[in-house]
Amino acid sequence: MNAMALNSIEATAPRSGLGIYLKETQYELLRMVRNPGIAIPVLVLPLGLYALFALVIGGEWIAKDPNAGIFLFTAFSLMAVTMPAMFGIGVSLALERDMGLLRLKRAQPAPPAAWVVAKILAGLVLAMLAYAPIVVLAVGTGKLALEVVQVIALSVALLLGTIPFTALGLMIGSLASGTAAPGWANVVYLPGCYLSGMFFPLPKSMYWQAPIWPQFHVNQLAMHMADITKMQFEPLTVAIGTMVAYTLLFAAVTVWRLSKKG
Amino acid sequence: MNHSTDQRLHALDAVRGFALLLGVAFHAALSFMPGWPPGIWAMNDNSPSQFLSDAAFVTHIFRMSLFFFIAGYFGRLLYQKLGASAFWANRGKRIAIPLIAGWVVLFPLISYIWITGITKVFGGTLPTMPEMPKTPGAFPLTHLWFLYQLLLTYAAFLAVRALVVRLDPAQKLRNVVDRAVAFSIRSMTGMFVLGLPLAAALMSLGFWFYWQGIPTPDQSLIPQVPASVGFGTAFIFGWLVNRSSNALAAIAQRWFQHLVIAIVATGWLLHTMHATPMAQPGLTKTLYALVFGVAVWGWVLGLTGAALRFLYGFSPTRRYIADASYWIYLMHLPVVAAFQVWVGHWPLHWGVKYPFILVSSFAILFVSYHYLVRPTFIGQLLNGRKHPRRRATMDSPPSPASPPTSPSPVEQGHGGVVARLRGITKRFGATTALSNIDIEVRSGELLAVLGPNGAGKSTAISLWLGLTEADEGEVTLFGGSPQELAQRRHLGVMMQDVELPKELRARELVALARSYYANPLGVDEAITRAGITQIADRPYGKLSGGQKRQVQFAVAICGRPKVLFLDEPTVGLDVKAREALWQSIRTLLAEGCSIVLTTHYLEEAEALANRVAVVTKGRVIASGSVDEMRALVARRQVSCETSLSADEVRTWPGVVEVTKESSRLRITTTDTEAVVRRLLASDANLARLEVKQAGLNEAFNELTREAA
Repeated sequence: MNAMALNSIEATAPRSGLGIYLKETQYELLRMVRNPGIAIPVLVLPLGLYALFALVIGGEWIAKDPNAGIFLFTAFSLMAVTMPAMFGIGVSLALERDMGLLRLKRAQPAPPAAWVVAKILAGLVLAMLAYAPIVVLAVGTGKLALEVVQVIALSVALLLGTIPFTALGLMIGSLASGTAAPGWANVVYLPGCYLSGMFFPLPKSMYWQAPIWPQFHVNQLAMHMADITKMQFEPLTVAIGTMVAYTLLFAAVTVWRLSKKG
Repeated sequence: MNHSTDQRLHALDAVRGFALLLGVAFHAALSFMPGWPPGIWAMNDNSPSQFLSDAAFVTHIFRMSLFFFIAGYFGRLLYQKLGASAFWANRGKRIAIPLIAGWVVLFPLISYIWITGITKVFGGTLPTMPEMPKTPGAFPLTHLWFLYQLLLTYAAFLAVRALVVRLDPAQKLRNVVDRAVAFSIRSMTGMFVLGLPLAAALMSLGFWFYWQGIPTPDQSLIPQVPASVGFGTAFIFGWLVNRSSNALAAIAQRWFQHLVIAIVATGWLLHTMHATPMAQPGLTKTLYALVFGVAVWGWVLGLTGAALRFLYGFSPTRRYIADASYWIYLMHLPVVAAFQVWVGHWPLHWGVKYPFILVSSFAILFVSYHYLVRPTFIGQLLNGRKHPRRRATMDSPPSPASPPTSPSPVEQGHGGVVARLRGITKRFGATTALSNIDIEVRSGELLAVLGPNGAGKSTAISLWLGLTEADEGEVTLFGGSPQELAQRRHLGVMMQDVELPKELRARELVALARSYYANPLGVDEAITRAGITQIADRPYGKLSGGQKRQVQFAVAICGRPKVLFLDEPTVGLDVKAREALWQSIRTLLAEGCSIVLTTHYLEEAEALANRVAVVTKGRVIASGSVDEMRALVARRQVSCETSLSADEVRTWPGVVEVTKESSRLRITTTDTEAVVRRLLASDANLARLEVKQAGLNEAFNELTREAA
């Protein structure tokens, strides 16, 4: 084929690939926010729980030990940033596979990665929307005794923590059916919240199993980045390495499953 | 060379580029190796990294074998195309001249940077440098050794090949080998067998640091045994894969399994190496060499397969990077080393310095490629093609090995073929969904594909949409592969059993879909044409079944498609909505859009189609104009209780088919009145006579029986 013909195809290509990604992300986000089954638990639950525990129940505890404030803040923030990945991205992927929407997207001339990039970005935006009120509340009420730099570092670490959970969400979405996905997401996610020591300090006899849960490593990354030495239980490299390894594992299963089943 | 092979070459080109660029990342890591004595590399960074050491080891396992494997594949392609003498002329220009010219330019630069770096490492005084070993053939080839090794491999291989051609004139041996190659990949035995020669060569090494893998043959002009055996095997297998017609497909199929085994093997290698870095004679060394061979081939076949699976087709960006990779690899060493020397004593973590070296080096190398190489004689020499600067952006013309073939729809004249299935067979497990079918769609026509449920209609559409791949045969859309985005930019689609996101409004769904196209309809225009103005602002989840189909139709047409695939578009529509949809379809046809419509409503085909293809049980059993099809179903079915035998009735004029169910005869006929008259005359006791129009199903069943 000659160069002219190629140019004529190039010339009819949409002007900006970026535009497609933005539009796709915008609508993905709109879908998550408009779906009460996703928006309410994701946006309201962590904030409400944080307010309950940090302001009402644990107020005195925090006054005595500032580390308790950091502990509670990290716990519910981690919940806020990871839930969109599990229940927004993962469950919606499973539903869309059931709906045949994925087949349609693959047939339409959208860039092949646009839908998955949009899901990940929308999940990230939703995570930020869920996280922002918690951090405002924590700093505003003085329940988070950290320097500004530490708060920023902690925030960055938490947002990085969405990566392995995004991969986990996508894996569940690629394996489970639309009706089973919320169940599986809970089965995989909730035990980790308790058994990783995220919600309450673990007794020594249960330390051995904490590293199984991704929550533990994200928490550790946050503790290292914010330089809170009292709550560091594993080296930084191990936390990062495990997060990377989990991400790769979950992503590999997802790619394998989607390439096989679609 | 057929179209799909063309498509695969793009993937292999990408793999070659990847292997070369990985080399840059590998060398950029070498100043961070923990425990390396000073002087072994241009710099010893003050922030060593075990992670980079491990990562470098992993890439070093396979990157050169991968390069030689692809070189073997393209080597045969070139040899078949050019013949022996032109092949050597070409290799002289592309390989020998870059080797010689590159060495002359690079060696002084590399030496200068090394001396500067080592002086810095030793605190300002240059120690006495070790002499080149005084052995015959000793020569500092630098990183250009791979070109020298490639030339030697070509020479040795073509000599052997000439011998084989003489000894095996009838191609018997080679046919056996071709089958064995494909089998070895599909059965996963290849990855275990191919590494054996290399393992043997590695076992025989006296000094072997596990980390170095295949010792780099950069110090001597005399070929080194492990490198020649390892890379030679890779080259030969690449050549054989090109010979074997099924091997590439098998590699693409087994990519995941190969990668998993490669990762497991690599994990074991890392673990063992951490315990004892230097090989000691004994079982561990033997096992290490064997597992190393498995890892090499796991990565080579796994990565190639993944590329074939996921990087299928032409991408201007990948093409550009693949073109640039050769120049970048040739020139990278002094650039990378200069950065390593520069940053070596900065008080920063390697996690900052290593990315800095990599990004800065790639920036310089890509810019130099873009301005100094791509539009000049150097680009001509290295890649066989010069790109004029004004178009020297991402929309690159084809490389010598891989011409992209994507005729524009603009080239398709009226009446030309816009989409075609040729000799297609598609199986799902034990079920054959399509069996050697040929269908084509001509420009500006509406082709109705008729058939009962499960006939294979949707499978045919899926092939055209690039959703599935055929087991045999060729699928084309505008002359190219439907898997390519460039071809799909001209299609619109309405599928069966698809639900759009329920939270979005019809207007938003159209707005999103139209953003995929270059020259779409306005949102309002698409909505008006699909007749959904009334419901455009309601959430999709709140619409009725028929309204949902109408929204899907709006999504299908909003990109001004040149070909539109409608899979059962009117299922669930009421009469009024169906009429409206038919009217929209007629408007599209009048504008020159080609349409493929599947349906099991005959009247839909009658109302709209120029041509009809009847598909049953995966085969096209009839095709032609609507009138021809109408004649087919103008048959009637007569049934009655009678004592007449089926065999007797079958001989009557006008009778097409007779079946007997207990005492009841079912007769398909083209001349109802004559047959009924004769039935009544022949059997006075005839009872429960019924005459009805033969439905499409009857027509299909009957046609299939005829076809069988």
